[in-house]
Amino acid sequence: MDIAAVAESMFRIILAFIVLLSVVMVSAVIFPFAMRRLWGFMGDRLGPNRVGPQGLFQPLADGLKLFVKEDITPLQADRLLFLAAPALALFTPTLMQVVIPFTENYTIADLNIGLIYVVAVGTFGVTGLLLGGWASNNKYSLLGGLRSAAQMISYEIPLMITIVVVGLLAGSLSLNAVVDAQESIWFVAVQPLAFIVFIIAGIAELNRTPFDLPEAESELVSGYMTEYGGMRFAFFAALIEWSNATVWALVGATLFLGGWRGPFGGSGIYLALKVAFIVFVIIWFFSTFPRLQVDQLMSFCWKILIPFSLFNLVTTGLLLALLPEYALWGIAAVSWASVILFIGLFHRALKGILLKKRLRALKGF
Amino acid sequence: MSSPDATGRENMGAEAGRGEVDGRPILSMEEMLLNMGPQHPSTHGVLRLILHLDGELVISVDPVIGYLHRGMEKIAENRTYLQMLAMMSRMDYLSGIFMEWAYVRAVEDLMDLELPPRAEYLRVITAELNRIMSHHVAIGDFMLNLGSWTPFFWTFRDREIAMDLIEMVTGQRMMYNYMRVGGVRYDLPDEFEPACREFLDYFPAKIDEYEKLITYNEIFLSRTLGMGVIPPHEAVSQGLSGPNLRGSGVKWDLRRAEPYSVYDEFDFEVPVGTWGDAFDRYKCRIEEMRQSVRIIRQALDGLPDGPVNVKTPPMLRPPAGSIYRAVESPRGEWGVYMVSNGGLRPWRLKMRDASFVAISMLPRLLAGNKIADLIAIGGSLDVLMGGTDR
Amino acid sequence: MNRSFTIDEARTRAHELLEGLAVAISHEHGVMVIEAAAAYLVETMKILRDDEVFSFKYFNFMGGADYLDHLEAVYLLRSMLHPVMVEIRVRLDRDAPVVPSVTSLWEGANWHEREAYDLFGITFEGHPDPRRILSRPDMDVFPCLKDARPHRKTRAEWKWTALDAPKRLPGEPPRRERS
Repeated sequence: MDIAAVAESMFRIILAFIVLLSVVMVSAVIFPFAMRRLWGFMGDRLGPNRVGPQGLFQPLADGLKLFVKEDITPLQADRLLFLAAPALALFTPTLMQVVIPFTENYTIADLNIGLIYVVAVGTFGVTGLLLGGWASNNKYSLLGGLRSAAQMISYEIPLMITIVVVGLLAGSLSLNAVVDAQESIWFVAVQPLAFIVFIIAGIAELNRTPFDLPEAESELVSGYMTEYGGMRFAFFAALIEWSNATVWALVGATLFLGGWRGPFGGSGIYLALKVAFIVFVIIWFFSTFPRLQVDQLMSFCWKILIPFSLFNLVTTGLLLALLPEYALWGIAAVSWASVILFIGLFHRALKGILLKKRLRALKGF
Repeated sequence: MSSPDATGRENMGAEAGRGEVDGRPILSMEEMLLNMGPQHPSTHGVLRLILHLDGELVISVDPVIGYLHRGMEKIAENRTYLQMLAMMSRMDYLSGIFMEWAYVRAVEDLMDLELPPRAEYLRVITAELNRIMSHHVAIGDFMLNLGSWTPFFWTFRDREIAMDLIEMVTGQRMMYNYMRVGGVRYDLPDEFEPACREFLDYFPAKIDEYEKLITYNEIFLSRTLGMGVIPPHEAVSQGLSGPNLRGSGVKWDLRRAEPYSVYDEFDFEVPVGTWGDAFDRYKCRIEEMRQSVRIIRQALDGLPDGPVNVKTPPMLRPPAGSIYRAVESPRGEWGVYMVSNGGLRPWRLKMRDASFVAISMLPRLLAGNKIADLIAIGGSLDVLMGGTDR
Repeated sequence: MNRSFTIDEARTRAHELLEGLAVAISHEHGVMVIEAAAAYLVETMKILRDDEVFSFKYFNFMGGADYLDHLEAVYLLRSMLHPVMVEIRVRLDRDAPVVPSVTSLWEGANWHEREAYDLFGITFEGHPDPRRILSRPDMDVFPCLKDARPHRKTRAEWKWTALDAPKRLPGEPPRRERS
């Protein structure tokens, strides 16, 4: 074997590690801070602004504080799993970036089944949370872990269907091919319905408001991370949450917003901006909405999201198969129409359902 | 919800054993005992709920109170009337003015004191400001229980302004000690009236802002509509009062029903709900804030001149007898039952609190709901442990 | 709401309705006071609640009071139809304060009666859940009685507490032994 080839592959591996970890770490530092400032702005407050210019060093101060705290393992906890759970949960965000095209010519591994890989690795994320909840030997943690399992498994389905729709549009399962297919038009314009379903299911997957039931502060104290403290808590609360959010935003930007593409030639900066936009939407939701209830969460997934995304999949497939020349126009028309229909009908349908619920509650007493 | 039994425990337990709740079969699992509180983020202080859970489903609830019990009724027997007045606002610490008001009303009526009109007006102004502040906390905490943070910050932003106003008058933010037997402690400072009018102009727009954020949100609606329904006859027989009773559609407000002080001079409405669910209780509180603004404005306009208190002897000795006086506090009827034997100290002081009654309703209200709804319903009742445990 | 219903009319009507049941009917500071016997309490309350003129359907509160020679159970009822309130007093033996529970008439009486039991030791016959409510369940005095004294720990109890204290942790200075 040629020494130059070995050196090059070593270089590639090291570079890959640097990229993977720096995305995780940087997102865990920047986004919590951004969230607190934005959240403060939306709540008519200042947010943290004391440590450093505009409070920029606040995440470092927080990290330092959490780092020097005592690492506590509850006596009755399943020690091995309790300690392993945060590490397990970190696998997902780290590994999922492997297939994402960061720039025109840098993808760590351009798998030809990239979309399937994304789904498979994403499903793995729930293990860490479930184990953490179970191993803590705390009832709140257990409820939180179970909630997160139920929720993530349910929302996995519309997410997968949406990703299949994107695969259909691109005609390939490779993420590079998906980005290439968006050269003329971003898929968000062609498939707004799929994009909305992706954002909703993705927020549910990330356990973010309004789907933050697994860690509902007011109900389950802190859900699956109730018993964690110090650096392990920081792992769950900052690192995993926000790197997951970043990676989902990366996937979303790649699938729907044209990846690294942008005016005046593409670059990683465009990708970063798109990621920041999606994370901003998550923060915006966070400071606007209350939390859903468990069975409302489930029925929203099974009764609304899954039928809509299945309908979307079927129409997209049919149009692609029957009218290959006008397919994009047809798909766009159907998708936009159903989005408008959805927004128009949702409030009305909900009103009817809630009125029935009120009547039933008054009768049932 | 079919629990004719008072605690609801045996009944619901039996139903869960059969694997059926609400007529629908459920997957029967091992019953889980969860001790929620006294240190829990959303039990409004130190309420402890012993929950029997079937997964997420609440089979029975046993509220345990007394973690904030300071024995105020016993303390009162060892304090003079004026000393006890300073303890009153420590009861229901979010609406201290009302606690003091009921107390001084009882003592004044025992002594047959006639108040100067300016004192009555000042009492109304501070009390209505305090009602707004208390409803701020109620709505903010309720939304926090539902998982929404921003309303909490918004309400607390405006509560701060109201607090500054009430601090101008009383010198305190929470434990006012403002009322005196025979009037109030201080007259208004000069800067109060313009500042208060500014607040009254500013605040109604902010209430609309809360409503835009909260009231028409689909998630909020689906969390609160039809949740924790209390039919009117139940509410009356339980003795609920305040927004909890009015949410059930019973138009009962002590300010109108037995007009005390100068409330019959003011033009305001008593908002009522129709369904008696969490949403109606929330809506009643929002509307009451609007009505409070109206009352304060009218009171400022018609504020008479004159002294703010009457001369009373330094050591109060009300004549012997028993008396019950109540005021409409933000949480409902706050009453003081006082027995005097003509001495320096109250012989017996019993306080009737609305949160105590509302919490006693919890076992029947919560059984058969999910954990998340338990928090929502508990928040919509706006209970406060300071008043409950006394 | 019938605002014209005065306390004198209420007293006349109460005299008619409670013939032979009430011990005395008077009024004090705008509240009609009925002194009832413990044996006829539930009957009296039921008449007051179900009468269509009185309609005392709103259970305001109940509490105890200690008058040194006797205890009193005080019930306050409200009507939503007229402004007259009624206060029902039941004189109880201080050594064995027993009174029938009114939870069968008003659900809301449950916790008030528990509180009266907790503070005054009044026993409610037929109460569904007779436990202490504000104080600790293992408390052995009824604190609002005028002669209630806090329980002082005996020497033996203190010793037991000292023995039961946690063992010394490594690095902690040795405790001074109590003599």
